[in-house]
Amino acid sequence: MKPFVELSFMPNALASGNKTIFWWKGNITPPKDYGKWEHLIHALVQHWTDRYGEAEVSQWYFEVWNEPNLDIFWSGNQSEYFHLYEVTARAIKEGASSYRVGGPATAGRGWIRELIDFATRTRAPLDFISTHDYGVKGIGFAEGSEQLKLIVDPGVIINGVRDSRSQITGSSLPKLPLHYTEWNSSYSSRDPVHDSYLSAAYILSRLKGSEGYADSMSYWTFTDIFEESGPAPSPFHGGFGLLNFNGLRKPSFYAYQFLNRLGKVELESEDANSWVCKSDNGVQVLFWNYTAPDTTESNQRFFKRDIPAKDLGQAQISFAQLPAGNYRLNVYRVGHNVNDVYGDYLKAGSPLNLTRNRFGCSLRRTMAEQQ
Amino acid sequence: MLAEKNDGRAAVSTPIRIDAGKPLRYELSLHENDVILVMLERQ
Repeated sequence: MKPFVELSFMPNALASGNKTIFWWKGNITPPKDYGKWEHLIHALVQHWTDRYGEAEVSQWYFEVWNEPNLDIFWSGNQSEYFHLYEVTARAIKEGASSYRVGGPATAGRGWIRELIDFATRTRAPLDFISTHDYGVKGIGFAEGSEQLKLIVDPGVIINGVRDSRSQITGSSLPKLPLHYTEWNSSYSSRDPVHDSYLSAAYILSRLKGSEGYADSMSYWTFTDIFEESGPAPSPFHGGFGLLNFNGLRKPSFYAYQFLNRLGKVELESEDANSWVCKSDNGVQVLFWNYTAPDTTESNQRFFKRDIPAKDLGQAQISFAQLPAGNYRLNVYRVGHNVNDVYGDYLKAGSPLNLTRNRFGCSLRRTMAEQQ
Repeated sequence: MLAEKNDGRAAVSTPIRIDAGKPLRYELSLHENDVILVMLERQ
């Protein structure tokens, strides 16, 4: 694992204004002096080069700003962002020409063609495209917001990834790598869809549909220890994380754990909702059913209660042409009431704090198991 | 309880013999939004 460095927000001493976001007051204004910003970035990159070496830092990625196409994150306009991009990119390349820099780090795949056109015109360094996407409609970050609903279109996220790739392919820099540096079902860190068992199948179905179009898809985020909206009010509060803040594994965690258990060689499969792989000592079949909820309710209401899963009958797997011998068959599952920690939390009455008995083991042990 | 009940251990773990030229068919229940990983490891 290597760093993907996001260069934002603006240090107060360099800021041209006082607009901020989040309780910790990230300044969203352009620099008042681009020369000083360039010097800061150059010094920062030089520090990393001195500390870790050019060969190491060459394996990192540098992304300029965060979602500059949203006025909550960038008070400047598009041309001001492009100026920031160019100054920053050149400062990074002063460190070493091999250092990778990209953008526009936009929400909802904005400004991709525009940044490529700008870089082509100005010869500003551009090594990759990055953007973000989420699968909800409505506006509402806050705790208890009733505005957000999961988009039920089967192509959600997937069509966006494919469109981003298509924009790159049709541009003057058609081979640029594409990195989704944020994606998830919901952009709110207070949306209970993140805790639901449905998330595991959602993740796999979105990744499968995006396979071959994006070079990376970074699920936002690893853990609920995340304070953009302030400290978390309860153990399961709809945080983005694969793990809650106690280290408890959500169903989404298992989607990635199961992917990690697949062998390195992918085999053909007739089922689009599957990955079939092989390793030196066996085969692995990962499959799922993703069914979007049939509801007009907001996520905040729908995902705060038990959602029974319909029985779909029997699934059949057929293994052929395997070498004769003795094998062990292991089956791992996640779904309704199976590795469904949030379902159990709801059944327990959604307590604000978990006692040691309810938690089931000490935090120290749980954290040790994650490592 | 929450940690141990949801620790991701295998729901099924059983030895199986595969004979030459004989396919192995395996059936298991499926519900909406289930995710299932089946791993067959040579011993």
